[in-house]
Amino acid sequence: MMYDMLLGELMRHKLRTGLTITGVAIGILLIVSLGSFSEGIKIFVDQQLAYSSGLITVIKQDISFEGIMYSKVDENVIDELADIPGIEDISGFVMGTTPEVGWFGGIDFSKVDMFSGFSVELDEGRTPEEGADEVVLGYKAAERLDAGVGDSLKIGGRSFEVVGIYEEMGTEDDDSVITTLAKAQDVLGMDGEVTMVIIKPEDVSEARSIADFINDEYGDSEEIKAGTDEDVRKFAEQLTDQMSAMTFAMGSIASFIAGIVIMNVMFMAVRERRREIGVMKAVGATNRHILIEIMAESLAITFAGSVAGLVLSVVVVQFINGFLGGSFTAVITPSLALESTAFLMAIGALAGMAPARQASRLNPIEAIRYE
Amino acid sequence: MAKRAVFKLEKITKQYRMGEDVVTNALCGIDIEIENGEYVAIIGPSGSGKSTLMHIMGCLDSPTKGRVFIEGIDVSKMKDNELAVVRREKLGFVFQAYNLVNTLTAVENVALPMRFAGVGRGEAVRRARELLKKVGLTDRMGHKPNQLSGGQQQRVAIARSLINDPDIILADEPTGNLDTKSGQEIVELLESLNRKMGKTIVVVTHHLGLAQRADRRIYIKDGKVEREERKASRKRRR
Repeated sequence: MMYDMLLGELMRHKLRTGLTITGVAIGILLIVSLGSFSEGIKIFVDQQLAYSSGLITVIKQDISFEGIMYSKVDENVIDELADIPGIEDISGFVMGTTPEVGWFGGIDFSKVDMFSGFSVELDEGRTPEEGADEVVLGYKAAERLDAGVGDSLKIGGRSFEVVGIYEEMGTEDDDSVITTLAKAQDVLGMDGEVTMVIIKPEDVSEARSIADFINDEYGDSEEIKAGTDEDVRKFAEQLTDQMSAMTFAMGSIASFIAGIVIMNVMFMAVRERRREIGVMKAVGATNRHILIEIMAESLAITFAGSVAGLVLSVVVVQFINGFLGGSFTAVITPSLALESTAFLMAIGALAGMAPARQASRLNPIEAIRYE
Repeated sequence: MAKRAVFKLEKITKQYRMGEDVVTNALCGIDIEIENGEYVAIIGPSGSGKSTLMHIMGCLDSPTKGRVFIEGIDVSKMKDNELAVVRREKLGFVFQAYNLVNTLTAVENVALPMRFAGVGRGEAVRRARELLKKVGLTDRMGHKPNQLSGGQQQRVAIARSLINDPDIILADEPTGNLDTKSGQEIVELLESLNRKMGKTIVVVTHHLGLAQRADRRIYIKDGKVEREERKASRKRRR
């Protein structure tokens, strides 16, 4: 392949080359930005699942996992379930939002150790005491609310003192304000209710049978449902699979269009250069020389488009993440970038094939006569 | 140098099928032998088959019947890519319409056949510069075809035909698109390739001045060799 000739051809029609590259770039932008959401969701879900690793989660029966913050379970259920054999520990959780501080939750601080897949350390201060109007902040929430230990925050019309700041956890709790279970119930108007109940089995391998037992024995009477972390994972995978399928479908359409554009441009280029291709064959180019030259042009356009598209994707994804602001971020992983580029390059190769074959098979005499 | 046939055409027939039943005979059993170092002009009226003959000699087309030997090798049944190699290594082409690649400079155009032969850019460009100097285009090496006159473009084409150092140069109406002065310069250049470099030159032409300079003139009419003339005055050099 002759790089000087390749460059000369691409520069011959700058506008046309530029427009084709733009078409490819838009294709890759679509694939990568959609893909970055899928990747972001996967990472987010994995972080969330780190909490519940090996645990059983009990929520209101008619609530699905994505609507978990609307779940309400009678607090008395905790005592009932605690008697089930094989349960090591059990605790209620309250979570919700308040207009003043955003994410707001209540936990039983004596039971934080239940979360084996996850460690929570205080960066400074201490945890709230039972009965006191005190909160501890995730590091992001502290930044967002511009609050430190000793400051007070208005929550639900009452004044709470910040007594501690957590280290970074890498989950949405970084952006949360947390207090004791009772105080959170009070502020969120959930007296006698919790958002969910978390159960730690004595033996992790028994989690499934315990969850089934809860569903059979208490499911309908208490209007609750129990799931293991595997259930949550399956649900999350279903969600990300759907997202991936959509990304693939939309990406395929975009790539298909890009492929058609490339093919059209390459057919046009071959048609315009019939005479030159004939001359090259007359002076000794083999069919393979011509095939490689045209394929190289198609691939060069695709590659340039892919690089431009990736740069554009980084900018767009950063822009969107700026908007989202919160714990969820779209992520362009190296594998996503590589796979999208490889996919587009394959499309470019396919699109270049037919024009390249046509060019390579031109009869030199007919081509030279062509004006 | 010992005489040997660089071209041997045996009973060459070329038929074109036009539609279902109509067959046109472009060449009807042509026998020609050309020796190394000869300067041969092929002359004939329009439609006589001389261009078809040139294409077959130049391995751009295959005969319907008959055999073509180039330097003793039968090329009449060769495949596309084998013919491409013969064109690249054994033959040099000069066309009426110059046929340069418009996106390439003069030097890049000249280097092209050498690049197809797998020679690196540096070496091919160095050789192309030498040849452009020889054809008097030292100051036009970086120019593209549209920045050159017709005569200059034809000189570039001649330099290109020489790049792989073939023994045979085939020229199809090389002065056809040129004014008298430029045409004359090209005629002299081709003649010097024959006289000074010992190249075998086969030229298809209407240009009488060009034809007169040839050692031998082959007149083609209706796809057959009508007659041959040898130049009496010129002493064969080799």
